[in-house]
Amino acid sequence: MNNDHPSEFREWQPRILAFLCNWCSYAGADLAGVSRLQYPPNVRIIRVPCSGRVNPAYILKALQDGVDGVLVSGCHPGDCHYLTGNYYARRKFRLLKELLDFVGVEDGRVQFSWVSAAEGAKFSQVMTEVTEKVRALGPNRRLAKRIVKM
Amino acid sequence: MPKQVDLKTIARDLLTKGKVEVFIGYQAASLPLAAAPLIIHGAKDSVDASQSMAPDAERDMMARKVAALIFDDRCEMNLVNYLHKFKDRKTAVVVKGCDSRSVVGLLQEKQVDRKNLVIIGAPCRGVVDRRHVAKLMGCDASREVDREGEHFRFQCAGSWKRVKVADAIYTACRECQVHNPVIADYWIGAPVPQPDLPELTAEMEALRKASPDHRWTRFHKEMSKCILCYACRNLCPACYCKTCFADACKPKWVGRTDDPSDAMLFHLQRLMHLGGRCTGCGACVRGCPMNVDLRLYNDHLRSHVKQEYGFMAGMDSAVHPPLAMYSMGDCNEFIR
Ligand code: SF4
Ligand code: SF4
Ligand code: SF4
Ligand code: FES
Repeated sequence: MNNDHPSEFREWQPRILAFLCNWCSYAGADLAGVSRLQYPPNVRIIRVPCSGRVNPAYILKALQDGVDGVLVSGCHPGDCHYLTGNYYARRKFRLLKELLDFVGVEDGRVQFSWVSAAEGAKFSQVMTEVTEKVRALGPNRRLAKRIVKM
Repeated sequence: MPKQVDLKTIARDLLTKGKVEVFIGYQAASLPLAAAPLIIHGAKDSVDASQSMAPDAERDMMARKVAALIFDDRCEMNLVNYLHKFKDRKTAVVVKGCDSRSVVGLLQEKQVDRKNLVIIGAPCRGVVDRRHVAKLMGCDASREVDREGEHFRFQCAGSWKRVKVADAIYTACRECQVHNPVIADYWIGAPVPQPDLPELTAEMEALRKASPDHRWTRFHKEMSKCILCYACRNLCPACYCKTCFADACKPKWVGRTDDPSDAMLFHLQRLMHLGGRCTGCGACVRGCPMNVDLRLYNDHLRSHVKQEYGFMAGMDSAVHPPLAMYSMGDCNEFIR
């Protein structure tokens, strides 16, 4: 992808990290794949057992390490493989969103979705929307670290 | 309402009768307008090293320490933090209104056992911000502080000066919602009037209404001051984890450079851990050597949790913490 080789001659492309729960959203991504549905190549997927497994620290760290947007996606409420993981996650993400809004991180840098294993089309649509929203925000300059990591 | 008692009398009584092993209170400190913690071990204390002393000497020492106990406008420290150190011993602790909420928080999170606790409640009208007073007066004020109604009198270079109470106390005290302890076995003073306060301060209201860019500038400014000393965490009674993410090196969650993003990552994560748990005691702000205004962010999350889940940290130990539960009807609008 372009931005693995940043160059002033190439157009900036958003880099998006998606945490997908194994049982629904990741299967949704799979379905989108086998159905040959298109979605932007800007998204890098990390498979997690459950949306409840996503520590807000992962999201923050990803932003500090320079991704332009983060998506967390899990099963629809009521469908969590572990029954309640996504319910707990919802309160936690709401708190994180509230905090990020208040400190002034742009709305849209961190997004959430529920995508089931049957929703290949929704998956590709969500990926497109998330990418476009982050593209409109421009590069992540707020939480990203400027000093070279050691 | 709990029985009103005299501080020294109750301390002597509890310690000599073996009702507690440890008494945690305040004594005057060597700096102007400062108090320091005073930990007194009773005769029955099984762990105290002074056990090896002769019984007479030990009694003398205890009596001297009890005589040094104070409670006044200087006692800013939140002593509840010490409860973690004396976990399984019978302990008495002096708590102001705000500190009492920290006790409730620890009871709620099952960090302390109510049976082992004697809570000495100190109704409190606010404690003096000595750094601010020194700035106001242009010199280190004397350790003497005298309160006449709505004014403090401080001594400076031999003469007394008057300062309005509201100008001399900590912001957390001006905004305090619980001047009188919410939980106590004894009170060492009469209840003080609780002013009716707006939910949010004018500063907070303004900041909430400001643009994200403005809020970011403010956050960036605060975080740029932080030197990552972790005093705020160390002083916080709700930060009792034996292994804190901030100390972890594999993975290293918090970098050690002076890029403000490192401080941001530390504080954002810590704020997430304190959402719905921070009682607003202000210990973190008072202890910060760099005057980072952490209050803004803690206050924001506290009011979010109150508005969203009707929960106020440290008010009722029987209520389940809101971030450790869920409801089917929780807000879902922010999720695609
Ligand atoms: S974060 Fe600060 S105000 Fe909140 S409980 Fe901890 S020390 Fe008190
Ligand atoms: S910052 Fe978090 S991990 Fe560290 S002591 Fe506080 S609550 Fe525990
Ligand atoms: S006490 Fe102040 S300087 Fe130290 S880590 Fe906390 S905010 Fe930063
Ligand atoms: S397993 Fe998918 S959200 Fe819990």
